[in-house]
Amino acid sequence: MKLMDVVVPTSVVHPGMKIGDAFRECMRHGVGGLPYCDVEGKIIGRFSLRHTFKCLCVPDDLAHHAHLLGDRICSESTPEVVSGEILNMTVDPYIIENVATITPTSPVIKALSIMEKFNSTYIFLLDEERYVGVITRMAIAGLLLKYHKF
Amino acid sequence: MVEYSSALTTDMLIALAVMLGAYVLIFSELLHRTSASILGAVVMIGIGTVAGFYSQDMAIAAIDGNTILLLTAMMMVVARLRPTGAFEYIAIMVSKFSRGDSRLLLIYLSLVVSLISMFLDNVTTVIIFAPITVLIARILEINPLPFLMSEAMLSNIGGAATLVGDPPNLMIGTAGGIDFSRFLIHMGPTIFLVWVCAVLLILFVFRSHLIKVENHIDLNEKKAIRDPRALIQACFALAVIIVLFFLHHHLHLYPAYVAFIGLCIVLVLQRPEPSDLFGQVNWSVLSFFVGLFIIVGGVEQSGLLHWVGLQLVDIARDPERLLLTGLAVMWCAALLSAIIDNIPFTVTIIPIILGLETMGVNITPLWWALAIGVGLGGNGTHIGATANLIAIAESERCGIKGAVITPAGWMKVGIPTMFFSLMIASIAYSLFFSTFL
Repeated sequence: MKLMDVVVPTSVVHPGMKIGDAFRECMRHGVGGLPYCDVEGKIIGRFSLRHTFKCLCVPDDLAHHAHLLGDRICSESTPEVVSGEILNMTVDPYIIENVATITPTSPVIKALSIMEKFNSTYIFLLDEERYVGVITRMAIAGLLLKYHKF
Repeated sequence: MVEYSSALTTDMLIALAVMLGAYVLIFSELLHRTSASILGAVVMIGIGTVAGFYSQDMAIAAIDGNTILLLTAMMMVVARLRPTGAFEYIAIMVSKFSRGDSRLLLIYLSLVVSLISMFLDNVTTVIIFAPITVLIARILEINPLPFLMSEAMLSNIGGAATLVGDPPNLMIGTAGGIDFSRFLIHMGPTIFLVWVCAVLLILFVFRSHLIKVENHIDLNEKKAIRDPRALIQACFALAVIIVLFFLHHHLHLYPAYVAFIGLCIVLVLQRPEPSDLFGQVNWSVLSFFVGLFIIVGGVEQSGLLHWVGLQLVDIARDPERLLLTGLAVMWCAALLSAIIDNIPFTVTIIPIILGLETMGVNITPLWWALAIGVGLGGNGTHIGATANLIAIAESERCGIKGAVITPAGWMKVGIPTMFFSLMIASIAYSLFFSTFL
């Protein structure tokens, strides 16, 4: 089983990029995050759907007491989300510095371990510092099914 | 009986230097306060042993075991109560009772926090209530700032009412031989009066923020209780503890032992994993206290605190001026507690007061004055009490516009509240001074 068989090639997120464009790229490829690269193409962070939503509309008190929330909770506490204003905001303030990466020769179990450690559903595949694409848990599950013809 | 010098000696100056060095580290936050406290304790024992005025045995004897063990046991009991969701349930219920009236919401939440703080650690109480308060404010689309500030301040005030409500009270009670019931009888009425006046002041100060809202509190309190069985068990243990607190003096039980009885009930009924239980104890706070006890123990053994007492005894011994002495202790304790941590101050002044007793002073009213002062002084500044810092941290974290409590913003409300509380307490203390004797 090789990780290169299930890598999802994506574009990267650049400084100044709009959140809406980053969302579209994530949606297009079915991934939860994208690498954030500087002008030289070096990965210096990652854009995460989960982290972006958390920063913009899921404060700690809301998340901690989510099980208590009713269905009539007012969305007007986060008008930027309701109006779509967040789509025009830039990604830069919501970038995470820690980046989990793996190489094409790494075993699948290592990929899964790193995703577990970083509490992430995806990991970036780098081939000699060159970004190749995203490996997701979903893709690894698909790889297993395909490999064992299940 | 140990004979202390009536003049300043080298040992006293050495001990003072070590204590001041440790306190500078604690208050400047160059080092975490627990680390500074441990460092100070180790240095005090080392230097004291070399100088001949202190020893390791004396250091161990200086640790107030009743305080440390009671805090440990109560932390563990609260650790079993907290995950049940009881506090969130109470917060949601009282919020729904307010029916959108922000003033009633502030009163109800503050009352609940104050009552809980009378028996449980007020820092933990504010840690639990602050996020749910922010959530309720968020849903009602009102600024959580007044509620966070009032909860912190009124938990400080509420905690001053009972022997177990605040660590300084525990230390005072142990040193003064004051039992739970006696503490409540003496402090309760004054603190109740202070509480009412403080609430009225806070309602006035924040009147423009406290509006009636139409929004419904869309929180389901039934989902708050995650483990009804554990809740009943923990509440039963807590009820036993509270009843025994009232009786501990008659049963000749230390408050710490009472707390451990309650803990044993929890251990037998719930059988928690030790790692879960012990992981919830705030060992940093307990270590901080232990370090302070050892540092001040060294200062006491050097004779410095006895010397300080000698400077005060002429004033304190005069029954005509005992009221004045009490008021001076109250206000000094309050002002110092506002600026620096009230724990080191309390630990330092207790031996001085005990020393006055050996010189023929009636120190009973001084205990009450000290308890009132350290309890109310913590509201003056944002650093006066740990509960204040919790409220500020939550205000910064919530991300709601206008909710951030700045140090200046705290003092604009805290200083008037502190002074007003102290004035009310001083009037009560003076008018009913005979009951404090």
